[in-house]
Amino acid sequence: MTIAVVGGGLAGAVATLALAERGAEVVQIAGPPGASALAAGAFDLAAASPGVPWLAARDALRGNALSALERLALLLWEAPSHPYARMFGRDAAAAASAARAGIAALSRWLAPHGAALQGDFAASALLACSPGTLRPVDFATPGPAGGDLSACAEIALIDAPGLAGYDARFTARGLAAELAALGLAQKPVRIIQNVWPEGLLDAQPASVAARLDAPAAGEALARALRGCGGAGCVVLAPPVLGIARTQALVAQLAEAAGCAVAEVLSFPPYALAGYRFERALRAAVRASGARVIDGRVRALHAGQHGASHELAIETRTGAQQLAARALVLATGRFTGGGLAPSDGEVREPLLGLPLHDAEGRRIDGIPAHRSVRKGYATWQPLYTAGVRVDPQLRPLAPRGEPAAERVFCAGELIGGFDPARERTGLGVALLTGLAAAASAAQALQ
Amino acid sequence: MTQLLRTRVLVIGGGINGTGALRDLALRGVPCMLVEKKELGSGTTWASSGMIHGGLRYLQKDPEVTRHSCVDSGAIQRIAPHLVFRIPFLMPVFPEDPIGPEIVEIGLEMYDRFVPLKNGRPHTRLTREQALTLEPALSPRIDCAFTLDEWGIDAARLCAANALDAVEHGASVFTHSEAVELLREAGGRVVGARVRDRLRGDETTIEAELVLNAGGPWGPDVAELAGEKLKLRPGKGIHLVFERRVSNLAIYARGVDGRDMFTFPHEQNSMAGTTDDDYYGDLDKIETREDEAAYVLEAMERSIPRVRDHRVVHAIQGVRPTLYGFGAYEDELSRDYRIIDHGQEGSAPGIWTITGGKLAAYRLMAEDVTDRLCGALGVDARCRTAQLPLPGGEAPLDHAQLAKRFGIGIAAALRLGFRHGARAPRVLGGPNGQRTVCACEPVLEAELRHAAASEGLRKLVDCPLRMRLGNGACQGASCAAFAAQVLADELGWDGARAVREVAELAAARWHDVAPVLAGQQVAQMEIHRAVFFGMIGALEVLP
Repeated sequence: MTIAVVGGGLAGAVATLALAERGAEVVQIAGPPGASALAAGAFDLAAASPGVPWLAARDALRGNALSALERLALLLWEAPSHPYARMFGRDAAAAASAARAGIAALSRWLAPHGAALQGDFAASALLACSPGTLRPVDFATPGPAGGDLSACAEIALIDAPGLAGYDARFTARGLAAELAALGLAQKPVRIIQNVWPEGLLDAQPASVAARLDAPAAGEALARALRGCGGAGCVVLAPPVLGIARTQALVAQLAEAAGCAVAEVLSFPPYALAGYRFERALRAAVRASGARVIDGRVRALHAGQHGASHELAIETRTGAQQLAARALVLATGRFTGGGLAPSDGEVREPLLGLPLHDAEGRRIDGIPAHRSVRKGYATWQPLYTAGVRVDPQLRPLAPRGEPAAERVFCAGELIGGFDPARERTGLGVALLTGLAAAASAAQALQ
Repeated sequence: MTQLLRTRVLVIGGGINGTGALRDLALRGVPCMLVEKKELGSGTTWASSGMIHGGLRYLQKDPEVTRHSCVDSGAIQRIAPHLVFRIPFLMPVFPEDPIGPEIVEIGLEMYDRFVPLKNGRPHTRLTREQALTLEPALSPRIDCAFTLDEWGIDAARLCAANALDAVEHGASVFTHSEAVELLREAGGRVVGARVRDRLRGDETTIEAELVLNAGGPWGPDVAELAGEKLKLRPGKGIHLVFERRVSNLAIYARGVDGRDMFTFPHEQNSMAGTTDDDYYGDLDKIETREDEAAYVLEAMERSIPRVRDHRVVHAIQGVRPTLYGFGAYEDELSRDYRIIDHGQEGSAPGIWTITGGKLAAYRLMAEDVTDRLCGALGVDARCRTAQLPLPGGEAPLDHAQLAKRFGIGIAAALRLGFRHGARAPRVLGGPNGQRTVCACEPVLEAELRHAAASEGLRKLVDCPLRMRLGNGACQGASCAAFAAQVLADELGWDGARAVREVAELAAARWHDVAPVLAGQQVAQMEIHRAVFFGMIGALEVLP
């Protein structure tokens, strides 16, 4: 009674872990990294959202903040095409309890690998981004998690001369401007210089981070930071605090500094947070006992009338066939390969599922450029598009009936929302991954 | 608060005609200033094919244009050898072509007479097999093919180099500064302009003995400020820009209507184009349309059958200030230029217009108009623009030695040397100068600092023109924030300004990408959006 999970990002990993925990026979076809691996380290369940037009994007920053669960509840009313609304209708209590269970499960799975999320359902943390902007965040990975600036008394930035993509003075200038623009209390911002042990710093964030995985290097940096903080201070570091042991290193540095230490949120190609996150997820899946095939599904034949689904998988060592009784599709959107432009038109390549934008228009079979609009910040149909699902996360055919038996969708493959603008890609991946796993398990009972 | 400046000649328009004339005036010792409402070379010049080609297609109807272009191409290679690169062309002949190889070759033999003027090699005729060996991407349906030589150039950098040299010889250049009103004497004579700085919002009055309208397609708007009517036949042209080089040689292609186009390697990319269509729209909102892109790709597909497998990253679009002509198709219109003394031909003495022409002959046009302006001013000085090198063209640069001396990669040394020539060592100086800001090009931090500190760069969104930053596949997602950090440091921007600059760059790149969004670029722009929306908390700053 095998269940196949297709996709190696957060949604696929969560579905696999949930099924393994239920004792199901699950195979994850992980494939190459997708959008999760590019994450900045923030994890939002339901960010202040353009799906909620009257809720300004930065209200959370201006102090009239809604909690994550309140925003989740709002979304159910205001954005009926959103995957959350598909799953929970307008039942805010059900959404809230799913969110709590999801965060708890993810933390349980990631904790042994030093990657547990930190955060709070009641209040957003205000984290600093590398350009000096502020961002309200529900949860965060261990690197940036300690950097909440909302209540701090002082900000100190670690200088890192020559490091690509990071400039402490620039970030400091930006933070001062952001605090002023938002009408928040000004805080002293200072730069901490000359902390890097000899031979540790160069231009490449990834190589600096790899060097900091060596305990001796971490200790040397901790010595240099000794006593640099003070009560109420937050020390912000470039996003290079290790790869395999970030959580331990951040704790070690915080203890030395005498205050919170956190990385600034940073973005590809200078971000390592997503890479660390995916690394920990893969470790968790391995530890769960689930079988993992590192490959791509080349062809998928959906079984009808109770027959098994047939998957043709291509791996580095050759082709494989797999039969599965149920299927979780967590293939992502364009970055993950779940949607692909072929012959100039946008399609879902595995099952040819119909694709809809957030306003319900079909966009599959149409050239990509016809589904975009002028204006970068405006609503873009192409980037809200994906598979439409029912509350069990079954993909729907054009007339609204399930498009296949025992097939369930998770993550950004599901359309109806814009992960970039709403920043809820990871939150959706988590809740839909869990729900798809539950639906798949139930379908086989 | 209005500042008052005085000069002898005020040039309006910072494209190749404006900057070319400014340099000529400055080298002759004439005090002069230039105002450009956006960035140097950001209009027609940026949208050109970036070639100083001889104009084979004008040979039949406009042989003078071909001769001018070839003569001036030779001069440009002499004064700016670092900015110029050879582009060998391959012209396939198909069995169904109305003009067979023998006739084509007669045309090329005629062209060969002009080619030595621009240091090109004479054409060669290749058999089908030879052509396919040379360029395997070529269609196997060809009968035979010809080669000919043309030259590519970084047109925006050519504008900057002309402006820079003018400034070094006493001229002043104001970018993002728009002439909003022409100053008139009681008799109607134009004696300068009121200029608004579009970034700061303040105004300057520039009094000048003569005003030169080098507004390109915007020329009629400038003339209108003097109550003069200038009639052009604006022709829109688009290019598609591929992620990398599609072929090593430029390849001729023919549109469904028989027009000649080509795919050509240009700097780090290949480009394909161009179109030529009458344009009646808003000059400040030019966009590539779906049918234009389809028309170009269809043409390319005939010569390069697998061209659609390559990733089109973005389009470039612009409008030519083609001279007015009635009753002719766009392609048949003259590519010649005109100089108008509005005192003689109209009723606004003191203002002149230069319009039309080709990038390849910009220096000759500048010489011509400067001769006329100097005549009007009573200045007796000879043109020296064909003899004196442009900044960087003074001596050859040893790229390997540059890389070694400053500890930079050879690719970065080559690209820096390409734009700055012999002055590249001067650009690499300060601390952290060797950091790579844009990996696609690549662009080093030092070049960005130099452009802001010494070359009048004022905005992040202008960097794709100045140094091709943000022009690669990632469209600035990897470099915009980093580049803004560097510029903020040089130009004293506060954090809010820096974020606005980043948002503007993101939006400008989207403008050029969206109309041709397809293939792998769809995923690339998904990441682009995640990066920019992720880093800019404030959606309201996004244009």
